[in-house]
Amino acid sequence: MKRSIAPSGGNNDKKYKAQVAPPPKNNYKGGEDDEDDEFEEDDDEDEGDEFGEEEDEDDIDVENIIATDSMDLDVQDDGSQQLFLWSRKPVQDLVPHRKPLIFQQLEVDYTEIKEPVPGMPGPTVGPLPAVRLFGVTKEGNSVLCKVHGFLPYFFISCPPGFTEADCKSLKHDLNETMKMSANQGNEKDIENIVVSIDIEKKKSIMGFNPNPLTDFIRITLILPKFVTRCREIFESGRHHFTIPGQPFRQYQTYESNILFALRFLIDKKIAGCSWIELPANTYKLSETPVSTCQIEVDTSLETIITREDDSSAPYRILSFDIECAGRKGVFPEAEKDPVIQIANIVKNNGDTEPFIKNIFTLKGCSSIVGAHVIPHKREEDMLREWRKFLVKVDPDVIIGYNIVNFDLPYLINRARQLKIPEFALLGRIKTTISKIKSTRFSSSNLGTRESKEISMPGRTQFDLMQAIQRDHKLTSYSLNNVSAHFLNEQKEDVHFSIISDLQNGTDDDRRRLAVYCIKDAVLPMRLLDKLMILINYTEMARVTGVPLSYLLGRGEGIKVLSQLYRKAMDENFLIPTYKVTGKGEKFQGANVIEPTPGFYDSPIATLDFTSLYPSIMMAHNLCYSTLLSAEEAKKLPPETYTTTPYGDHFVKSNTKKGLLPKILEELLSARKKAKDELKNEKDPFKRAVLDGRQLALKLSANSVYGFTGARVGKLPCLEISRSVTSFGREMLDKTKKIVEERYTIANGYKHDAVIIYGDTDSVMVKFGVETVAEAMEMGRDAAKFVTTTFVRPINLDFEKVYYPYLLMAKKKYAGLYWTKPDIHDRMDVKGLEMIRRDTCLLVRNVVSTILKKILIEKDLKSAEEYTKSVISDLLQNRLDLSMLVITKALSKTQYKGRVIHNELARKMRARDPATAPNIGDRVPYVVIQGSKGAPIYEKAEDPLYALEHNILLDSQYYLDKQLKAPLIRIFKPIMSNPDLIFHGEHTRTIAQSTLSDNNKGFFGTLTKKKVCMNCPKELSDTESTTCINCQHKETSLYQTSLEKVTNLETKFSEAWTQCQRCSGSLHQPVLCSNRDCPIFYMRTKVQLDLIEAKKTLNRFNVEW
Amino acid sequence: MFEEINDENESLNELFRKIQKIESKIKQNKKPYGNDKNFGLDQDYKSTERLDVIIHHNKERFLEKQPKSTIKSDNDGGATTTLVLSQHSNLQYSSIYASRLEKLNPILVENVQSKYPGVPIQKILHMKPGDECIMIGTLYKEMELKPNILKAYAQDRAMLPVLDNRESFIGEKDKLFFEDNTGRVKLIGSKEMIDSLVTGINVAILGKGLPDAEFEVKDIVFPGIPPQPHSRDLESLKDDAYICLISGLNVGNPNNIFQTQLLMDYLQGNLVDNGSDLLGKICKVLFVGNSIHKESEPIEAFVRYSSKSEIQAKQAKKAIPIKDFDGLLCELCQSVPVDIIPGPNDPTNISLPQLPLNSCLFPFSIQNTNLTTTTNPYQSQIGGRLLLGTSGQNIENASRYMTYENRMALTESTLIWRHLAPTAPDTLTCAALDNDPFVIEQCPHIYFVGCQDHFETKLLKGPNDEIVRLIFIPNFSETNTIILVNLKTLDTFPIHFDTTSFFPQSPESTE
Repeated sequence: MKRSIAPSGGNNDKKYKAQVAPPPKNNYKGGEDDEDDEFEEDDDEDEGDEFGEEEDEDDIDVENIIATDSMDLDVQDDGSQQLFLWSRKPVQDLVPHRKPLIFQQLEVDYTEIKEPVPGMPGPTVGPLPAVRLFGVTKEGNSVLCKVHGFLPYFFISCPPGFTEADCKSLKHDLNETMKMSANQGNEKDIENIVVSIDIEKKKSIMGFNPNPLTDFIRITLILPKFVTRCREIFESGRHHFTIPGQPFRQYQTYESNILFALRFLIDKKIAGCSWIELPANTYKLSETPVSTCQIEVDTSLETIITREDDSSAPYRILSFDIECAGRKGVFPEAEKDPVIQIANIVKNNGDTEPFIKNIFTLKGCSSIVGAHVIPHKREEDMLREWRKFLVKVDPDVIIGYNIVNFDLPYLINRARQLKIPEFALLGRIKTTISKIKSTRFSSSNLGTRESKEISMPGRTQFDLMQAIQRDHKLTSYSLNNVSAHFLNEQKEDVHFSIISDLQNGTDDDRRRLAVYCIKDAVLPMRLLDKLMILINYTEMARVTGVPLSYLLGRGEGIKVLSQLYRKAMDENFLIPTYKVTGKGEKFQGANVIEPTPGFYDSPIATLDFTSLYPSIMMAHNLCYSTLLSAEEAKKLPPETYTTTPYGDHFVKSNTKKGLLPKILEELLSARKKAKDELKNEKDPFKRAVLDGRQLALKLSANSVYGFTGARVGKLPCLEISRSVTSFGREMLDKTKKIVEERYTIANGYKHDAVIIYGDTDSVMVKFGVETVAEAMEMGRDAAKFVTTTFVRPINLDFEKVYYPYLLMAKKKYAGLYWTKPDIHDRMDVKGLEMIRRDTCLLVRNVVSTILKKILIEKDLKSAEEYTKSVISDLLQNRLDLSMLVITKALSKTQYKGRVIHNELARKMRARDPATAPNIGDRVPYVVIQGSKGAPIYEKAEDPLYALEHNILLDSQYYLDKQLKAPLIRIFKPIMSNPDLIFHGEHTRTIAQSTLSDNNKGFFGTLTKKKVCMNCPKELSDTESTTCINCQHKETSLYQTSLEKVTNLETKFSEAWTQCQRCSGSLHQPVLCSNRDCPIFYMRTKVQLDLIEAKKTLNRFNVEW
Repeated sequence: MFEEINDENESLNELFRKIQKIESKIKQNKKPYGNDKNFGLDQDYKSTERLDVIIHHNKERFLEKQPKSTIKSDNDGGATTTLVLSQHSNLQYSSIYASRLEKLNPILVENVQSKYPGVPIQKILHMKPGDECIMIGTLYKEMELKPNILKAYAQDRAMLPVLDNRESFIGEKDKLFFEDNTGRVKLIGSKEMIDSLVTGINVAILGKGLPDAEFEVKDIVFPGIPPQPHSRDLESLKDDAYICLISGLNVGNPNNIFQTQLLMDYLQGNLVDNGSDLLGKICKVLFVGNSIHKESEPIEAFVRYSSKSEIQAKQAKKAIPIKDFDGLLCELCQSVPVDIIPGPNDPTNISLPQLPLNSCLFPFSIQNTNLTTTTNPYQSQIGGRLLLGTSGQNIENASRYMTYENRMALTESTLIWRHLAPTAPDTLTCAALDNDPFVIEQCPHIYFVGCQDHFETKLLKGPNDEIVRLIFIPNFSETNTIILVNLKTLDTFPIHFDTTSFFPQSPESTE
């Protein structure tokens, strides 16, 4: 069999470069490692960049690669039973002319085909776009459905006097202009870039327009990649293009920046993750399949239909994790450090257990119960085999932890380094090489995120780390912490500096590593199940209509945009394309009724506006399509429009109902329906789906407001967003007024009600009543009454009672949360140092204990005493070190000025490059005692180093900079002088480095001479513990030492047996270096302390 | 069998007089007592000829295997510090399990091969689903209710010890795992089976491999009762000789001053005629755990700030019972050899093996060679009889993690497991040793468990004619009972000191 020889290095590099998309228009300084491949993805840039480039690489080598590759796969098929086990069930009963093909689509993109498929609609000469739907049938067969006949288009406003007759000449002129700007390869060969020019009756969504529909020019192009260029011709005026018979001017374009695949879904009314039906005799099997899918068909745009079905197909989910053997002191780099293990877990959606659990290893590895170990002698072989495995298993969804930013790019880069070009064929299209792009998106919720994007057509990548970062607020997003948080188990963590040692060890050592690696692949799968992430995201895709992969890879805006387009299409509205400037006036955000801080020992009723912003938009008909300018408003009768508190004008819904209110109404009524169904549903899986749906609907409804306010969004409209917030403010004030006026002694109530605080959509009312039940009753009454004063559907709802309630400041409060009168549900804490990462655990724990004492035990005295004892422990250095560890992420090498954690990282690198933190790591540190006035960055120390060298911590720093502010905040409403807590007897004994017992223990051993345990006198050779004068104290000294030993023994035993349990083995030593584990530092400290303490004790063991 | 003790009625005053006498003696005599051969109340008693019993202490057994770095008294500072630091990563519990399995593996192989000849013995990782095979390894029980430092830890300042004093930690979802040095499988069996076993036992399992790392249990084979040594010393034991077992003396407990004094008087022959046959035959007194009273401290004490003077006062208070005990021992050691085995409340370390009470605690009595402080667990050979025992922690701990018929049966099980304390280190605090000292390599003749709430005994006969006397020694401070064991016949009697009559009562002998 002929195998092509892998191209040499230089050649190869060039080849990869050739496959790279054209340079970006907005140059962006890419990361150091991957400059060639990286460019900023701009949402409204030319669509063609995404996948279109690949087809026109008439590259011999790619073809060779593919040829070799498919041969390889076939050969393996004959011999290996394993590959057979991995494969999907064969296709049965596929009769295109008699039976429909029904599948759930998971991934949608498009490609360019060179020649049209006979019998399909659309132009008769290529190249042409074809939309690709990847999916799975109910039987579990993979499907690629290529939809033909859909072409990209957009609109421009129609200049006066332009008629049907002018279309032909515009088409010709525009086509010529487009051809002139066509620069590369086969673009020049395309005869008709502009396919058609039509006039359609439409209306812009922007601004209320009472007039009938007007003319717009619809421009249909041959390929999506031409859209951006064509749009520019009209928008910029740079091409000096004029519409025949018109003076030169710039034109507003409409709907010219929507992703082509999404456009298709919208036009065909197909939602993300929905079921597709190709009726019998409307589709045919592809003659020359381009994919590895089991079923590949061609069908027409016109006959494809979408089905109502909320089930999910048994698609395949692969979870994987890789281990790399880094060199000492450097984070693994794909250019240099080998991949040594790849663990894989494969599961069918809907099953509870995976059906494949294996690990590919470099070098031999002892077998692992329950997992298939596949050892390889050479790394190249391992990577090749893994890719074959991937193609055979053919997963629809690939999950993992941080795979998008680490594992996948690493594998691809590594394979390139090892010159395995066929490795990058990871997708389902046989000819498409997976590439790495850097992307970033900004969102008001998440901030700017930089991330990599791996093209892998047909497979949805779903990085659990991204999903959890999006949906959950945690102190750390390490897999350790995440699994501890959600799965309630600590994960054993092997520091990457040990990985190489294990790899170079025996088969058993590698087996150990393999066990961790498998665990790292199992955990994402378990997280996926536990958090029902796929279910929830599937529902979100269905509600908003975007494909699954958009939900993680893109911002929030796309979801609203998708819905807006769908709605707009129904009503013949067009959405203008705006150049996003990112600038805009600021407007006042959410309102707050100034809090009256205090400790409220009476029930505080909380009234909430349900779905505040959506209901405001619905109530006042706020939409792009209802917005009036001041002049327009003047012309209209005042009763037909609303003037918002900010001064903007919107027509009322009886004149014209806005699109956004319609979308919101649908979302909220769908949510109500889902919630109602949820109440009656018993089946746990269906419940999960319904719950996911109602959550998705709620989130979608809430994101509409954000969409209008996002200044860098697709369609910002500050008139809407500022009106929403101004209404919100007005409503809060009005609620306060009504409640305080109505519930008064004068009106026959027992007390005067007071609003003590209000924020955004809730108000806290102190009715003055004694019991929770009374407060609930009055709360309900007040909510009902206030609601009647607002426009529907604005609804004030009574939700809960806080009792007692500790209000510290704006957005900072705590209280017991009651929803039923007999028992409180939980303790609710907002805005305190409970989850902030830059505070140490001590602060978090102390705050929560104090709140428990205040709120639950209602024992202020004990809270105070407790606080004093903590302070005393802190000052005397009696606290466990892990309570005092602060962590910060090391995100870059260059910081402006000297930043504490960067300075420490530098210090640690000088000490031992192997264990020093790298970029991307979180650096844990403690603050140690330094010389007086030393800057803080000099006093940061590695907690382990501080432990092992018995360095005293700067307790004053912890007291003043960490504990003080939150404690004072809590105690201020309760005590007249909270400062007193920080003064008094308990603060007098302070551990000093010279007096510390611990310190003496360590440095004491360095001195050659032994000293009496009771006085500073040196001992003679015959004396072991005390000098002759202190001998009477020996028993008591012994007991002191003993007490220390017994305490440490208990702790030692508790800690290390736990580690042994956690590591899942009794017989093998614990290697874990999981610094997120709460006992990590403690177990090291107790180990060292125990040795020291026993040494001291042993001084007594001299025979008499 | 047991002769009735003299019925002479002594008054309360008499007793006080005696106590004063002892106290005044302690005050008068600063000199070491042991040197004064003629001192003591009962000089004749002391020199009873029948005490000619050969005693071999095996004091080192539970000491020798501790890692040098932790136990060596080190005098040359710096050099060993680095050694210790580099060794600290080895200070873990895995080696104790490895050593345990290494010791018991050959025995299990032998047992299982004779029971199931022809069935292959396999390592876990070579097990294939569907195959019937035998595997040898260690049990591990995953229990939801097991105290977990991670749960307890995150709560406060990590200062409070993990306290969970529930009687039983058995839960509905307990899972039993089984591992050898190659891997771990989940054992599939009845809930009863799972509940009846604890972490740390070495067993051979016959069963069938299932997919997903599970193993269906058909039979479990234990190491079985170890071989019993035969000593010629036993033949030399011509006449009855007794050892006296006392547990939970709790010197310093204000409630039992009288009983203690009564006991001491009794042991020294003060309460009976000099000619008492029985007393003269006691060749060893064993104090099995909790000899010294310890005030229980509230948990709050762990987090409360204590000033230096408070600490000193506390220590001084703690020293009083120790001094008292020293005084009692001074007296007692005049007449009879005494071994002190530490218990959970005694002033020594807490993890097993507990080190002998330090000699500096007994400045007076230690000078008498009759006094030996020993480890817990305890092992010695007296008159050819092999004694093995603990102050009860092993049984108490195991009993919380498994179901058992009664405690005696559980104690019996430890012999069948050939392991004194399988739950160490998992739930029972134990030193991180390189070698497992708790494996029972020889079957004892007398196997005792101290610090129990009642007296109980059982004579166990092994399959190869091993004979073991199992004894629960009750806390003296609660039951006023001590135990006498006849070394020759292994007959065992409790002696009850009734405080109302001030006389030891002899209950009916049990056997």
